[in-house]
Amino acid sequence: MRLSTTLRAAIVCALLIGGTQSSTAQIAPPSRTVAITGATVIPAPGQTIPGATVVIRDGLITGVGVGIPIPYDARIVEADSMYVYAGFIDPLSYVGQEAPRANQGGGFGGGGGGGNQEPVADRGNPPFDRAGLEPYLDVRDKLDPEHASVEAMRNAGFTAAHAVPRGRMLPGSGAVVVLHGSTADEMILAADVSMFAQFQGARGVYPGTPMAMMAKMRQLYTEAQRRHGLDAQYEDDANGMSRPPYDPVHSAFFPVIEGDTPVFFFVDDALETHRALTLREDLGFRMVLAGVPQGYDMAQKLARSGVPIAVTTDFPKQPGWMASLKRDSLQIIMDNYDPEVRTATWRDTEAEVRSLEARQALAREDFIQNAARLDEAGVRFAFTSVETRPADIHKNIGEMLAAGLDTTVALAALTSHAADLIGMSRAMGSIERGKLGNVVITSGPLFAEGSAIKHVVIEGTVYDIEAGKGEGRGGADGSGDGAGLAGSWTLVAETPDGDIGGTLEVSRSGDTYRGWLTYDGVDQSIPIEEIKVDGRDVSFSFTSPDGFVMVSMTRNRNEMSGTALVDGANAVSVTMERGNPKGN
Amino acid sequence: MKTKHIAALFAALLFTGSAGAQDVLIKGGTVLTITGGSLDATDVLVRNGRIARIGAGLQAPDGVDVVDATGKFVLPGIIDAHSHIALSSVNEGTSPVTAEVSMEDVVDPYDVSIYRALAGGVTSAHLMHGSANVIGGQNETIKLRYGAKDPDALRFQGAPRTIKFALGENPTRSHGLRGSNVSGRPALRPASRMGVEAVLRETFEAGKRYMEAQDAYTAASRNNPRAVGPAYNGQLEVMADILRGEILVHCHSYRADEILMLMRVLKDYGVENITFQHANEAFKVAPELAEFGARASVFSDWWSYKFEVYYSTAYNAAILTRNGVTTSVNSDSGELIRHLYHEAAKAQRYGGLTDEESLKLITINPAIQLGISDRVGSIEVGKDGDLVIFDAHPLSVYATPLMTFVDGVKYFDREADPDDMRLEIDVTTDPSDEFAGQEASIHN
Repeated sequence: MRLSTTLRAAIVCALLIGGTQSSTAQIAPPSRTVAITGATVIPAPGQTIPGATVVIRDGLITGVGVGIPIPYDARIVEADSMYVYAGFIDPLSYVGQEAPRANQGGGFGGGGGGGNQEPVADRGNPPFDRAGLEPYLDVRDKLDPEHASVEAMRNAGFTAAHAVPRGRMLPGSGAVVVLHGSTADEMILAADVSMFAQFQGARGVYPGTPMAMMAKMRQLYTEAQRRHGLDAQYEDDANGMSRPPYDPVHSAFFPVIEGDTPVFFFVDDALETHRALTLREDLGFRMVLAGVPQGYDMAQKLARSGVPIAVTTDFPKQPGWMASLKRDSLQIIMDNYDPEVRTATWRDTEAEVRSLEARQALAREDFIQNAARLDEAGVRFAFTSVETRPADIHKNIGEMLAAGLDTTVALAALTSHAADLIGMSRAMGSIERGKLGNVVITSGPLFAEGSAIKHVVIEGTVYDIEAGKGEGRGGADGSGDGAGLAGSWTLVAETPDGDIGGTLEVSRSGDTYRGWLTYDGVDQSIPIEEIKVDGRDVSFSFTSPDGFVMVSMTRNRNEMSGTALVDGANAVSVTMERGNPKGN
Repeated sequence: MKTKHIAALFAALLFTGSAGAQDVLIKGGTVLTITGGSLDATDVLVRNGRIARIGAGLQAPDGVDVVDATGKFVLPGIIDAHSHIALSSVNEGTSPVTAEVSMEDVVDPYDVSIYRALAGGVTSAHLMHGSANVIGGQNETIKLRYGAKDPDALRFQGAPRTIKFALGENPTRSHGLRGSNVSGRPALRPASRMGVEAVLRETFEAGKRYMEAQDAYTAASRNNPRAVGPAYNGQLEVMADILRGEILVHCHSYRADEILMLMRVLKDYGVENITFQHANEAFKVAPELAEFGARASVFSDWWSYKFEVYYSTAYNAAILTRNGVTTSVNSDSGELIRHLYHEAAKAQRYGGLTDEESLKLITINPAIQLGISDRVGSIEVGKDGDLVIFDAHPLSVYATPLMTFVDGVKYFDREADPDDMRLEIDVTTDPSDEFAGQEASIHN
């Protein structure tokens, strides 16, 4: 198999670049002028200048080339044998914001509000914040320059990002930020550059399902168009005209309607991607797609649409059986998959499991090949790290390269294409005179085995990246921790009517557990019964207004996931996280 | 790349046609045309997805695949007038009226239920919103073109728009009783059957006024450029389209009294096209349904799963048919959809319907109810090449579908039917976990 050696190399390289935890030390600048000397400079993807110098003054690049004069006041970064790339840019990021708790919006938190909420008078017409329709919010109000994610992204070579607020369907407007600064304001390069949207339904209220979110987007946009026209008419001559209606949600659409602001739509699977494209076609707004993990299933359609795309660097979690296998063994399993197999399960369960595993490996391979197959179809894309742990970004890109992605395309996805996507290509995305002094300095070629990020420069400020000590990995399987099931848990149940949030309180006396459950729309605690704890397996039942519910969970330390069976028929998935939503 | 090889293999399994995938000649079968009798030893030629010729001794044009159906039975593709397969969500249950949502937006082409339905001879299905709301969402009629991954590729082009209504216990439980009595959630109408009617009339009235306001605005804006129209309301747009007759109503219902109630409401608002879904007590009001021109889509023999469906009979379809009501038998289930021909046969077993009357319950009659009978539901020249080949008469309990064609393309072949026909799989869960405990239960 041709991939195995390159893949191994890529993984090693990725480990060295991003996989290790690093600590950075900012060197106090004696002057704001920096000269990086003796380096191999890659000013743009596909170009190389050996033995070159890059000069940055007052935060901007003032010179790139061989033998250019070095200013007398420059701090010299000796980069002999090193490589200099334009600073990486993340076109959709939650950098600088606190990660949500389990009960706060299916992983996106914020606007949707916390766990057990007051019932709303009309679930079909809830207040904007409960509906997750808050396009009037601004990420600038949520940014924290001290947040650990800022440094973590910088350690991975990122110098700028398009930051968007967390929330539900319409969480607010995004801003372009540089990944340093002592205040949120200092991070901002450009504000109100986007309307952020995603298919994240409201919990227990409208719009909860994808169909309602589609309808809501059409409703808001079409009515906003009408109001936009009325506003112009009113401004022209208010005499004799009723005052046009106003609310902040519809008004937030005006820059989109005027074509000034694109909608950045995060889509997490194939169907969401189709839906976002449908909305764009129906309503005609400018759109950027982010995420698109299954672009491989619709590459031609994406190419025809011309929609700019930021492809996720995240892959689905590996199933347990796969994690212990070496790449070569996995390849053998995939090569031997027979799609025409007909096995009677009751005769040979083992054979069927093996066949399903091989199919699973091949299906996972699709996600890894996503970027390469989009490139093959002529789709231009950037990378977005949203939902990816910073330490995994380069490891995953390494896997994509091993799966056939071109290195020049990968570099463009981190730099020039990302700058284009957020409308900042005049200011960043390559090493050119006049652009921001944002560069990444690596010990060897970026994607080569053994290369590591040595320095990250943002607007002339040099951050030295030192490989720090690895992260302690305590308690591997989580089965033996003392706290056990007892305590407070926040939960999210994904029902067909949308997510339901709640809490579970469990107390323990000897081997006996007692517990109470509350969740959205229920005003008193419901006792849980038949509580069984067997190692990591936890089960209990309770009687809800909708019927008898059986819950089976698997606990991994402070997280549980599993299913609830309502009336023995409808299974909904449930996740729980230890802790109380109301400030612990 | 290995995966491309797999994809190609899948494509080969799914689309076995050679030259012109939409051409096929099915030779020598007993052709159950539905509208033109039963034709022995007859050939059916499909060109470009449409039935081109029906007759004896037809020659296959160059490159057209020939299927020998000697001794077998050819039926038009079965149509399910009530299904919830291939949808990523079914109910937007947050409000008693959600006319603005559409199943068109949530079609899931990856659902393996589509393939299972093909294996039961089904070629078209009416994907409906759930019954939680008095006025639920708009439905979507699809063709079962399994293997296509773009939701739009499944669309039944040209099929009229339809919408789901629901009467009785489902909406009252979803919005009324549950809210007031149990969960502390504020109660909404409807909490009673009276409330259901009130919600219907109120929403129709709002739709009518919206339509009038729009018409007034259109008229006014001809002379007055500063005229201001009504606020856009996606929900009332749909209600107005129902009033204009552009959307067919399909209503979840059980009891005779509520069936009569909806006919009165529709009459008051001039809405003519109505199909009652389930309609377990429709047999009690069959003459009234026939007089209104209303239709019924029923279960063959499914009832007693809640209080309002105790008064039911397996003679329902037969009584309705003999009273002149266009009646179909539907599945409402990913399991029943695999053997709707058995469901139709039950109407014969209990009600003594003729072969043709029974087969109409799952072919031309659902096609009429969905407004697609000019395209599908019978074997006629010019209609779509949606065909099933059975190894025995489809009303026989021994009948098995052997091949299913949509637009002349073979999507199911019993001879090429591997274990794993899923288009998408769960890539994170260990397969062995999914089997945990299964072996033990099998051997017990």
